[in-house]
Amino acid sequence: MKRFIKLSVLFLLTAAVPYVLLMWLLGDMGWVRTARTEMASRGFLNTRIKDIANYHDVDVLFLGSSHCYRTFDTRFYRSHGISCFNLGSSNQTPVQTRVLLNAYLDSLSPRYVVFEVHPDIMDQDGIESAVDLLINMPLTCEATRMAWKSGNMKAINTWLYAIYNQKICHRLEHFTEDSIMDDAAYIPGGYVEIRKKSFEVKRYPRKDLTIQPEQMAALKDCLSMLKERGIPYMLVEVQDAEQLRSSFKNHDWFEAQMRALGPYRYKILPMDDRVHFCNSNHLYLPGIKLFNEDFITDLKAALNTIEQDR
Amino acid sequence: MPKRCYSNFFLYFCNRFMLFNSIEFLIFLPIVFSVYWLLHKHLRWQNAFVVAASYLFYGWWDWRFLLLIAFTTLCSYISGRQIASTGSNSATSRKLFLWGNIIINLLILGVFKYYDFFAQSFADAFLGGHADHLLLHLVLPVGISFYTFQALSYSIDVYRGTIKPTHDLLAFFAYVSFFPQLVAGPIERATSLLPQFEQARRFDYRTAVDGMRQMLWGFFKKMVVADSCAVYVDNIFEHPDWFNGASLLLAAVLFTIQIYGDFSGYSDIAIGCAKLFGISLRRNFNVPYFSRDIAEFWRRWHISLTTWFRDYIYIPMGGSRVPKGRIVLNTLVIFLVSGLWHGANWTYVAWGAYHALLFLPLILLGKNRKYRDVVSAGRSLPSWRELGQMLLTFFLAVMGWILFRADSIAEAWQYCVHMFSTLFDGAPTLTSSKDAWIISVAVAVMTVVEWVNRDCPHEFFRQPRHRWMRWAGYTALLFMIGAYMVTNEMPFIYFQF
Repeated sequence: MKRFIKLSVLFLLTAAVPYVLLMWLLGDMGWVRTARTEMASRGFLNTRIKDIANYHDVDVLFLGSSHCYRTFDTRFYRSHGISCFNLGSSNQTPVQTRVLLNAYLDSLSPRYVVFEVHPDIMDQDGIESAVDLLINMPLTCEATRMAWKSGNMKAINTWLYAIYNQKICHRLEHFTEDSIMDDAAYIPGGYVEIRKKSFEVKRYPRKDLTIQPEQMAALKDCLSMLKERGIPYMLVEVQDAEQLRSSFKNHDWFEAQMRALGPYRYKILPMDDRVHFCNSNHLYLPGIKLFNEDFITDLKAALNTIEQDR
Repeated sequence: MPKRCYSNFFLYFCNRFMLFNSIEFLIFLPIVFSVYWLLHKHLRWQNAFVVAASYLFYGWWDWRFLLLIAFTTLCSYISGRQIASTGSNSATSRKLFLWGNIIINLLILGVFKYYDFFAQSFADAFLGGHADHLLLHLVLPVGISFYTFQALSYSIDVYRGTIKPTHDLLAFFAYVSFFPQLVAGPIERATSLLPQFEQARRFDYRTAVDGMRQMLWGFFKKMVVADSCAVYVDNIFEHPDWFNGASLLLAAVLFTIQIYGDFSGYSDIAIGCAKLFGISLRRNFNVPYFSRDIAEFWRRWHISLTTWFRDYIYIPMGGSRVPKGRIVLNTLVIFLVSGLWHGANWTYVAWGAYHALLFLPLILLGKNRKYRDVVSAGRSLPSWRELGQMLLTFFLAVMGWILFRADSIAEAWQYCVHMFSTLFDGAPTLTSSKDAWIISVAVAVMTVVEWVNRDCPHEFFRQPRHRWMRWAGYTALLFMIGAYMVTNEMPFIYFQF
């Protein structure tokens, strides 16, 4: 028995070394790629994280998934005298938002936070977003914890590769992402403008909305973090195209869950799926304009309230 | 649950069941292993611990269904004791206790697994499909078909006198609930497993290492081969109309590989895991896709279920030692029941009927036992004839798996029609070159290793002499699992049966 345990432990330790080396060696080799190794992506997280250094004490911080960075046009708010930064990233779930807030909330020091929430995002495991963060942001304890806590090998492998990428090759600091990729352009301040519409008429099967418990817990953690710092916030759900929206069987339930966490805004504006939407769950330029013009009233009111409280 | 909502089924189980390929099991197993061997001098305590660990393993999903297993176990235990205590003079009482137990167990199985299906079928036929007031919508307890059959075999064996009834309730509970094989087999017989719980086990280094090795191979088959195939297969089967015939054929072939990797992978993990506890389980798969005809395929596929049906249904019905008309009937019954065992859907029944049709000519011509040896024994490669036979058998299996995988018989038919009518409309669509590479390499590794080990006790048995070479091989497999698994948790297909 002792021999069995001793050799098993010895084997695991011995196997760990070639595992890590192979992960580094094969990490970025085309078909044999073992983890998320490419830093550049249409979500521009790499550029966005580097852009954070240019922003301090902003009026508003936008957080959330692609619905966030593709909707809240920072240029529009700036033109209305509101300084802001959009820290959204692709498929970002509250688990990743927590990591980002831990790393950047104090340096951005916002007066107000707009937290974009979406039913589909709240039901995800967040692995796609986790690997996006791991490869694109300087590794932190919180990011490491996120990778290991996910229990997902893709996240753990990406974390291993990120060590090599950042600590040994120093690629992250030397890498510069193109600010235009295909139809997507990064706008300083975190917004991404998509200039091509890819709307398809589809029939979505009716479905019950659910929320992953770990996402709800992470969302509560994020909100507690804001409350501790005395930063007021608003949960915002950006509307989907009618064809997707009508497939949600129990959106009322989702709304109730969000409302229980604080101020929550979900407003359906009169929009045409084919005109105002880029695809089923992302607004297109006319839709973005409509949305922001409507939203700024609420945002200004919220900022005024903060001013009056002071 | 609708038959083919694999993705929903997966999501349902991902956060609830302690799967072999989960972090929870990775923590659970070493703890149970350590405590189990610390108790090796106290058989009763060790068995009690096996029962507790097994109930914890199962109760992780839903503790309420523990009552069901406990009830099934108690019924079979009492039935066995009563059958034996009434003695051979009271044949009626013996039959009463046997059939009482069979009926109770089948009733439970029937209510949980088949009631809604038959109610819906009845409503479709006579009530215009309005079955809402008839349906119970019960959750199907995981592994119910497996442990029910295992419990039933005990009382039948006691009735037949092939085993003496046990007086050790703990050992019997351990026999029915032993966690490695509780939820997806192999379906053990009391004659082989129960005595192992009635006597002290000794830790054997070689057996434990062999168990670890078999588990590693099972994880590779499940997490790399089966799960990689599943991504492609699910995509195609979800929208078969969107793809050409070559893609549909490729998806059917990959599902054939997926279901083998998934289920035989589970069996390897279960058997290997049991070896760590000094328990020997029966082999469940013996390289079925290297079969030269369908009869050989059925001797090598899900062996524990096939032999269960053979011993407890087919042979009591007269088997093949009856007139030809009766042989046809017996064969049809056995395959249809086997199909229905897999799930409450007509596609499974049709799958059983399809295999019966392939099997019947062989049995009627007396050729069903033609290939009892291992293919190409003593040779490295098969002959052209053997290769042709294996490919034909594989193709026949592929066509059967389309029925098994489709949501309905109509969908399976449409799938086949679309597949053959557009077979030459271009090359198959691949999700990505990386996925194609992973699937190709993984399937190639599996095929070569299993071919080399086709005459061994299990498919990862033969190993190099030098330790460093063995460890290099294990490390390579671990790397492939860690680097190329699809996600860390994808439930096993056979859990739903």
